[in-house]
Amino acid sequence: MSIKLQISSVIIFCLLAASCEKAIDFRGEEQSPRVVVVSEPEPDTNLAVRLTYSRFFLSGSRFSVIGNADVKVVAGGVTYTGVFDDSVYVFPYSPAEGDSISLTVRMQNGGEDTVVTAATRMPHRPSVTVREAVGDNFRFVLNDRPGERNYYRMQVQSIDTTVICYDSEGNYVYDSDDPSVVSRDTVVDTTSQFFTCSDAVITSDATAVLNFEGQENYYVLIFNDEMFDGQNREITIKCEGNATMEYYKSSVRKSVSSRIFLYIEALSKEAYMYELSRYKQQEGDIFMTEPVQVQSNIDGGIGVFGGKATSVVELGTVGDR
Amino acid sequence: MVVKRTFVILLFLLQFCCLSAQTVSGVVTDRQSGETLIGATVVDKRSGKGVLSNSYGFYSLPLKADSVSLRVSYVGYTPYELDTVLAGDMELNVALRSGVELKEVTVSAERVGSHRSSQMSAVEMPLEHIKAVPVLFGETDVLKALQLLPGVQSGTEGTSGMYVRGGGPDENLFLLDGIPLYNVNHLGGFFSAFNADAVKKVTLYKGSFPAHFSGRLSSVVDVATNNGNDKEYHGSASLGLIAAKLAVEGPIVKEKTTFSLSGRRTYADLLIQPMMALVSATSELSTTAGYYFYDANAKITHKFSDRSRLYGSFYMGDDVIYMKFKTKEGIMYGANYKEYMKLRYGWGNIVGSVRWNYVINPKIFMNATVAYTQYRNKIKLTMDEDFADGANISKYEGEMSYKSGIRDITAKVDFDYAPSVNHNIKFGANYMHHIFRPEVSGTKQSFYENDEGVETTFDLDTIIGQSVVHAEELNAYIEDDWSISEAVKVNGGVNLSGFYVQKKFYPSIQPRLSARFLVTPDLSFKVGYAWMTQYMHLLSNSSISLPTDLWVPVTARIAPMQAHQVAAGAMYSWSGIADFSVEGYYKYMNNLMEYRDGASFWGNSVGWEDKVCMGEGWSYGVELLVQRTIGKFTGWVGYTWSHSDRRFKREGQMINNGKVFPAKYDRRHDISIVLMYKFNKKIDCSLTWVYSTGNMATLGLQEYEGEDGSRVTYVESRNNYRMPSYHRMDASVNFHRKLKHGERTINLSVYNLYNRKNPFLIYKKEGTISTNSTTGEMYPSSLVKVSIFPIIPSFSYTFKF
Repeated sequence: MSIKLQISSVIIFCLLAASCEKAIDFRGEEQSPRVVVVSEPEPDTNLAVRLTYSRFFLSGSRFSVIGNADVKVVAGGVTYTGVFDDSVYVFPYSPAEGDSISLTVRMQNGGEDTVVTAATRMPHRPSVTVREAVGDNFRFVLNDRPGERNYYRMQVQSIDTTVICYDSEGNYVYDSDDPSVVSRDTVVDTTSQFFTCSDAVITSDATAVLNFEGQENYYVLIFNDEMFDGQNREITIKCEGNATMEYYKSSVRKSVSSRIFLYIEALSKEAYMYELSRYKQQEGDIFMTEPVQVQSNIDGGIGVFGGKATSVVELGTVGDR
Repeated sequence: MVVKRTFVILLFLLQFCCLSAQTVSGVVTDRQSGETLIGATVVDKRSGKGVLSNSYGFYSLPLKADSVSLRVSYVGYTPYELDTVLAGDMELNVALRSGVELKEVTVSAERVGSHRSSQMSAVEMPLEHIKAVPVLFGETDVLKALQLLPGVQSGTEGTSGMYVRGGGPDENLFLLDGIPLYNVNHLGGFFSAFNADAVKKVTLYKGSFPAHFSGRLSSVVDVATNNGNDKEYHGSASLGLIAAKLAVEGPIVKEKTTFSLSGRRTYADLLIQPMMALVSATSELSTTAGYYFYDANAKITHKFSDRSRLYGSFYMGDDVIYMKFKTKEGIMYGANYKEYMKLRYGWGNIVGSVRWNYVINPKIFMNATVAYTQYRNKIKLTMDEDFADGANISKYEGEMSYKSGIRDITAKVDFDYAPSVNHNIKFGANYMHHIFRPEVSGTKQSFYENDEGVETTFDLDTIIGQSVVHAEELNAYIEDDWSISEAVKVNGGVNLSGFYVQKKFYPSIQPRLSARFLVTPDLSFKVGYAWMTQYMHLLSNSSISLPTDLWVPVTARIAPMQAHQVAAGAMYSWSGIADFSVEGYYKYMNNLMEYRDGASFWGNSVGWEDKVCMGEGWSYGVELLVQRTIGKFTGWVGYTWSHSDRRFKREGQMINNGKVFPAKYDRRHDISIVLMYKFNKKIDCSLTWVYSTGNMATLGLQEYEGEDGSRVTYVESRNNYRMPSYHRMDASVNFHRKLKHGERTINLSVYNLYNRKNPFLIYKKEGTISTNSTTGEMYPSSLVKVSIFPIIPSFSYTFKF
């Protein structure tokens, strides 16, 4: 956190500490709940749509699920009807890459006939080629499809194999070479990871978190190909996984290895607008950032109906290989 | 051939007209102090022709007739009258005696803001009114007084930010003796940088800007400071609730060279030091901390002759937060441990200028100025840490610094030219070299550890930041205050400007027009138009002024802001009673800057151009003002109805999906009532009541469950909720008493008399979560308003000698 941010936070804190608070009545029009559509279909997976009602922001009610709507999708000239099952509408239809899908919801809302529509086009799975893995640095190439605007979301996960050592009394032993160690357990975890990336284009919309060495770390990157349309974009990231002896020095676990996986999603434009605005809203601060409007492509309602397609690529292993 | 002959004849006649006019010129001053009087009226009662003295007290009145009846007047002074026969150009320096002017003489009342002046959308704020208006903590504040005028809105509770006719806080040009001041706020904007003890005159222009002003879209606040008494030494000392002030003035060489010094400083930090020392005495840490602000004005004036004067002005003001702590000698953490930390965060302005007035001839007055102005913001943090425990030693030394700011070097020349009875021409040019220093952060760290023979060292010395940006700005202008007839007066002009930055040149031609139609001697209609261009922006992401606010220039990607404003209105002067005015305006603004969704400048400004969107805005409204400036009972009542919208729909720069949304400070109604009553020479009092519709805020009125089961706040549109209205009453009373060597004044005032909890900001307070943290039942949330200032009584003691 920069000095400027720290000092400004202190000033704001002092101001607010010296202030007084009072609950006030909401003086606007209390809006009736809106129909919410949430669905991010993926190729080769049965399409599912969740319908709920939104709630007024000051109410404490649950998010009510809508189970009595007539929900249909049209893809390739064929109409499919959703079946309500365990709080979602499931369709006997698995989208393929490139499919255009339109959604129509008809229902009664507050005594009135309500029609909600949305449309999306399924993206193609991103093509990634791994080039190099050296220590915790990984270099790969994102092969962008030419001639169309493509949108991506990138995250890194690790599968960590760690060993926990015990002595004869069942206590944790921090040093695995300690002669008191009588037993070991091997634990495998899957963890989302922070990673560093110096590509200014793909990190332009991301909020960085500084690590102990003052480097900018990211949890997720959401970007588009405007600056590299049709190109093979070489990207280098650094991710330690959990296989760092320093980090675990005072911890019970001694990590043996971390397998690093790249999760890269191609997003439809609708999904991209939603995910990016959602990310900015989550990263923002009520006092310190401009308010964020989460984008919606639902006509007559709110939410998201946007296709995505995921590629998972193993980049390499950090620690014992 | 005919055309050529006609032109020659016209030229001859014109010269004859000019030659036949005789000019009365001179300087109007205060008889007691020698202080020049700005805007004094000089009129020939026989012809009805008159002029105002300029910013240096100089006037030039061309008259055709030989026999004249001159009257020189200024509010609060006994008029001077002279009947004479002009045998040629006449130099007449007038020293007015202060006294009570029972009624304004309508023929001569052409001061800025009056119904007879060609200038509209302008208000001259008498200094007595500024000093009489009760404000926060009893401190007189120029900008707080201006916020009480129609068309001028304050930002959030207690701050000095000005939002004039729908414009933002960085769209106001603050001039201190003609030189721009960038940061006019102390203490987060709760006090302005103008020390009223140093101020001579304040004029606010909200529209129809004369051509000699440029650089900001929405307003010009022209503040002139005192020159100093050229006959006697005088001064004042004042002690208030939070600040102490001292002002002295007098002659260095009688009636030739004068000085004026004034300063103030808050002292709350000094008062708490003994308490902190007491706490430190009983703890393991020795701590000092505090906050203060100060400002100092200095001016020297030298009169070479009646035609030539030199002025040297200096202003310096700073806000400082400081903190220092160190561990005492002894044992901590089971070892010898010493830690020292020192933080100093300072921000403020320095302005220095040298001006030379010269009366070239009775018709032409010249002012040449060179000036330097600087706003800087600097943080320095120093840390030392030593630890020793037997064979284990560690030492850490660190220093972090941050600075940013802007510096200007200015050279300008201005001329006042009165070629004839009906024309008063101003022209001039100025050059400014801007040096923008965006943020630079430096870190030096040095670490050494010896852990039972194992040594570790770490050294870091790095600087991160942006390079300095240089920009050049040129302005040239010409304007003519032309009395077409007794009834019609027009001020027309043009300002030509250019801004060169990052190999990009932005030219601008800005026409200005203001016209007055005198229906009766007391009633006038006015119209005005102004095109303004602004070449710099203030990056600020909060509602209060913070030291982290950053001035940045336009760039190759970010074009200058522009505004077109038309206004029309009527003014009626009920002689000896009050002045009435009603004015309507419409303003269109282009290339406005607003931050993208989710953007923040709390981190750093690197890549700021990618965080902003460019768009447009409209504001329109009607302003009513009833003002009384003479007599025992003075004050004003102002009402504004206004509307202000924004739209950002450019490709890749959309806000609110490209739809129109209200500006943050779009307030439908604004009322100010300021009443001042002078019982006698010993007691006077004032009462202020203000009301305004609440600010706009952005609230997500709906929530829904997202794709990952977490809660999503749905914001339908920006600035979609109106906060509760703001209203407040302040009262103040002064008790004056003459003492042996001067006069003392005790001021008692109360801010927020009925303790209204006005909203500073509102936010949603989450209700208690019962079961499932994302979709489960919750106890209802509530909308909470945060208020800052309750009822605040204050007291001050002032001694004038």
